[in-house]
Amino acid sequence: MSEDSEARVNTYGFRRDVQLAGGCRFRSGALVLAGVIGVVLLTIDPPRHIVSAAPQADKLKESKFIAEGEKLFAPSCGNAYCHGTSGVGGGAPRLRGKGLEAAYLFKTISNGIPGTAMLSFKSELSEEQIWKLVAFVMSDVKSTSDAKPEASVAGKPSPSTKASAETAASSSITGSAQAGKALFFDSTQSRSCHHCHSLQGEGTSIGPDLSKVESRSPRVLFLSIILPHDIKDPRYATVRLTLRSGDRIVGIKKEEDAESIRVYDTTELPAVLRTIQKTDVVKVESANESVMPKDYASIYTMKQFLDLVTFLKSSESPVTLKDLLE
Amino acid sequence: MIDSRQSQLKRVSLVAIALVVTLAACDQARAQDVNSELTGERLVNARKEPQNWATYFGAYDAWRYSSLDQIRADNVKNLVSVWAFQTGKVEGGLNATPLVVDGIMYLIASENRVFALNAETGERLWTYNYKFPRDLITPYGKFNRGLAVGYGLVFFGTMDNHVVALNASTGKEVWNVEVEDVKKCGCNINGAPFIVKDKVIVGGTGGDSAHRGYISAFNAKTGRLAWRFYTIPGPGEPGHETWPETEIWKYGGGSTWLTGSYDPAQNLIFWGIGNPSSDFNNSVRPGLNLYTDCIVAIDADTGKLKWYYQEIPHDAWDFDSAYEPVLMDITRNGKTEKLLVHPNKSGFVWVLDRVTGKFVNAWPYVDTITWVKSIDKDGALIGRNEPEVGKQSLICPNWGGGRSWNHSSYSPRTGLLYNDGIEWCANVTVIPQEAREGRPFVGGNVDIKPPPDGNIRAHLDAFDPVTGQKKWSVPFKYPILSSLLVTGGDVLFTGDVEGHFLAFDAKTGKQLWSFNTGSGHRGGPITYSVRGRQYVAVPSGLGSIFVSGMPATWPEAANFQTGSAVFVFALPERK
Repeated sequence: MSEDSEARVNTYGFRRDVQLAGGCRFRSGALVLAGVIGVVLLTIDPPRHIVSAAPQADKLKESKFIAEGEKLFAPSCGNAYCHGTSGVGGGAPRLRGKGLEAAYLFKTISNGIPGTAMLSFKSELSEEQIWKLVAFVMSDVKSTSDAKPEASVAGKPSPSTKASAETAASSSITGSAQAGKALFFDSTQSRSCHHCHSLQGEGTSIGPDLSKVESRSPRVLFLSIILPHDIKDPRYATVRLTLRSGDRIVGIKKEEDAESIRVYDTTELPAVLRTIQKTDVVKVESANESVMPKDYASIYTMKQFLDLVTFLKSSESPVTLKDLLE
Repeated sequence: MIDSRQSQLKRVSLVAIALVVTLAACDQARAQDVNSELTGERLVNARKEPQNWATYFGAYDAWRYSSLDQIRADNVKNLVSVWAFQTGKVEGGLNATPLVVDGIMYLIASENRVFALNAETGERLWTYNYKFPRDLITPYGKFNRGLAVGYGLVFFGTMDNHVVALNASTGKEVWNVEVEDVKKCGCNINGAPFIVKDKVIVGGTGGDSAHRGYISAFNAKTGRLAWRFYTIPGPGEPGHETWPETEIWKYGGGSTWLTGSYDPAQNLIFWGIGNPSSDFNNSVRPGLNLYTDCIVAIDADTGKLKWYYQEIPHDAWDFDSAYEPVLMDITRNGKTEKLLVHPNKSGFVWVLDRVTGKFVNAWPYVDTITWVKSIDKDGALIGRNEPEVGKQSLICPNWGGGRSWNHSSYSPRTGLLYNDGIEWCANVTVIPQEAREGRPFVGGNVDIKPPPDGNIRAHLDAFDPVTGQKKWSVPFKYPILSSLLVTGGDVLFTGDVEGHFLAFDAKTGKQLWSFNTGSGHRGGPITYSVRGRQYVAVPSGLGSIFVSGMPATWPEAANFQTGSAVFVFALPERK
């Protein structure tokens, strides 16, 4: 990499390029300007705008760095369904010995490749770890050993799913955001929230998005789960279709055109997006009540409501039973 | 120009007729049974309609056999090409088995593109392009193996894990349900659904991810979920004790990525359940790990388990039991037995009593097996050779299987099971891995190796389905990746990875005919007839996870061109 000489080196021996989200990169003559912008960006929202802290080319060739990359590569990338042992190809393409470039590799490992099975790893690995993978992939195929077994990692479930009620403080009854998240996204429960609601981009947007309900009081959130309530936003009004066949559909209308009406049928969850020809419809009724199931009070325990509300509030301090009742 | 205008007119008139009277047929090609909707009941009697190939395996018994006998071993050499259809996008190849119902062919190609074609001429009647999110990561690829047809609808699973029903006359969407968020579960659907009674039954991928598998049944007309059978029992359910007291059961695999079979007499659906995960590191899941690597028999109305048989307890080799459960009634010693014959990735075929679920036999369909020394008369695995942490183990066959998923076929005329085999091994390294929901959870690497007795090689064989006695064998350089088809004319059809569509004498294994379609075969050939003429249709188009892995073993395979087309053959018309 020819730009190495002008790279600034941080304490880790990584070169810090400043890159805008749009992809403009400032180097060389623009270094001063870049520095200024970098400071500004750092002040505003550092993690989103500084894309990479690229290590020096020498670092990518360091055998220890490569070996660490090899260790990371083996379980995540090297399995037979993916890039194969040592990255020479499996169910996914061969990576090593193809002359792939560092920046491309870093970007691809970080973000994945939409339209393919290549996952994004930025939530799982640190930037330094991704650079280690880059170093390994770029390394000479013959210079690394066959993948060696590594026995140190215990095969236990990830922390995000180890949610349990025991994390609550013993002095008062409180909720756990982790447990609430698990309930919200529990795909084994037909009444689970995510079948109809999204939150921070995850889940299904049939009903209202819940990303912004955190401003509401715990009590209001709790009551809106257990009690039937009216819908203020007409987009989520209940629609009842009676068909010529005699069938009835209850749900939320998504859209309609001259010929058909598209309704999320919420009779059973997950909801079914049904396209009904207007010629098949006898009657359309709508009401401002919610299609939300009305039996949550008999599905969840008090502790589980605390968990859910704590998760929805996404606050630092857990919601207590007192909060729900007041 | 005139042709294209005519076909446009025809399409417009088709839509109009469909809207007014909901009848699809407007030409003689589709004249058979137009007044009779394809129902669950009609599918039970699919064998009485040999002109159709109405379900993924041809009929509920999963034989991949048709009684049509116009094309026979003694005239197959006269086959001529009748038409071809290009799907227009080659990425992902063409893995599907087309269906033909009453003169119309339904085809699904990669990226969930669905087509209805006139089965006599190849004329396109409608196209449906599934709209999927552009930022979609497709965990198990863009491939699709097939669809289901019934009740005037066409059903398929999607690469972002929805199940969709289209109007079979117009190709317009009728219902669409998200089975589970693909971003959370790391799973999707590329196997073919099938219809049982009023329900559409669907499996899913996810067996090499931290995921808990299931089979879902949706009401065919409404898309409403009717039942779901989890392949890993939850707390309090029988079988949960075969998993450790950690949360690993939530991530233990057991995917249902292929298609099951159905016995109407017992109202039971049979399904092969995939491997437990992490695939190679079984130390995270001490116990039998039910119902992974099992054949399960479930009630078609309720989804409740009737019986199960676990072929490979506590799998350490990624030997899913996901392949086709073939149902046959065989008379031996004056007694007719209701059997389920089940080729497994591990190189064995299991034979079970499909009424009781009891073990009958297990026999090897490949020569090179080192993962176990033998299987005793009660079905117990003797001398397991499990890969261990800190040690490299030579395992034969390797994770790719003694055979890939492409299906066997069974002829009631010859009484033989036709199946392909691969002689190959791998050095397996176990790498403990942490389970993260929906992320890959394989727990090991493999390094493909030849078998101890020579080169990597493949073969196509005919067996007695119960005893495993080999009747004939044809050697191949590369694995056969096309499903097999056997007919009432005693012709066995399949295709090779270089593009040759091949016909063999089902009795002797003698090659009778070959046609180069220009791209390798990874889908399922079928046969059907329209107005008394028998056709053979074969998807051509190399592509799949297995195919992506081939160059590591056969470097020249990197240059085997892909494609995506259906070729149709028949005997010359008598003038």
